[in-house]
Amino acid sequence: MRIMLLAAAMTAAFAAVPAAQAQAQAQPAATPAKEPCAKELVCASDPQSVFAAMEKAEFKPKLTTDGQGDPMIESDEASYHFDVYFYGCDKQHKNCDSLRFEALFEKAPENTPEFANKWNASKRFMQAYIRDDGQMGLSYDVAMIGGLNQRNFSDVLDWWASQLSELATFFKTELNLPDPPEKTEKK
Amino acid sequence: MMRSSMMAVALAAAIWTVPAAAQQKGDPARMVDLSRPENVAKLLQEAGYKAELKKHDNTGDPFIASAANGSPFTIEFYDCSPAKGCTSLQFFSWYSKKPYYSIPMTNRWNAQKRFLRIVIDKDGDLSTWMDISTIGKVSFSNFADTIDWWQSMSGDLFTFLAEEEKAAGGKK
Repeated sequence: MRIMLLAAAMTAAFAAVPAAQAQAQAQPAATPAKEPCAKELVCASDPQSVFAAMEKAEFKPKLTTDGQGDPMIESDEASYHFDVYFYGCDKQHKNCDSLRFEALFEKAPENTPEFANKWNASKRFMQAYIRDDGQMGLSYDVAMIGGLNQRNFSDVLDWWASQLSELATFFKTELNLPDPPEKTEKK
Repeated sequence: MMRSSMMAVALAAAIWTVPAAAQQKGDPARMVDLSRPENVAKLLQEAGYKAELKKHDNTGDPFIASAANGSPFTIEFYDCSPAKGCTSLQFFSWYSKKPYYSIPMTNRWNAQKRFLRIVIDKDGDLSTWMDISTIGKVSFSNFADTIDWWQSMSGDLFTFLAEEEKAAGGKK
């Protein structure tokens, strides 16, 4: 009985292959954008527009892909390293609908929900949380459907970078970190 | 007490405004300016939400009273001047203290959900926020998408809170 079922399943699987291929072939090479990004605007459906705006703002962006094959941009040109994830992309990793700026900090004793809540209660734009793996995450989600003009997106970048810098101050104050040693004059 | 009667009024208003959501005038691709509270109120109405422009008694700062999912929320404006308008706005809603509210609970939300930042404030109430830059311009469809994120994440929050309450053993 089991063998017969297996055979039936195998037949079904083989039969299904050409259908799947046909479907794949039917897809045009480049799916047209559902919501085309108007000229001069910044949209998640046009990763190049995000990249160009970040380049202009001197974030030295690196365009890459995340674990799922969706676009992703990395930068080291703020107080901390951060990533920009593209969300809501289709199966071809295109037509993404929103962005998520994210910075992660390794597991540490101060990474408690109370610490994250303290940030969240007093600061704007950037959401703090402690992940199951003990890392602290900071994120800022931005709706991108229809597009933002250059000036608005430049301010989005500005908020993210200034809140990362604010975070450095928050760490220092909350954790009573010592000031970095004064630079002594060269002899 | 005051709060629950205000909630009831907002709830009734929200239900009455629902049919307006189906209407949409103007071109969704046009660029809109969110730096003026009175403009944002009009755009909210165009997107099908009620919007009442008010001023805070203590500071005189403008805000908009609206509602989503039958629950009131406000839009607060920051860094405002008569010449330049405001440089950012904030969607804000809060829910009075419940025994099952906890900081680990807000962290469970903040670690998994996007857009909506939630906290337990110093009074033990639950506050929720979403911040938006209003410098430059965005397309109308982008503003509609932003409101949609607020509305859908606030709706998600109710489901999340119901589950948290159940997990806490029905502590109301």
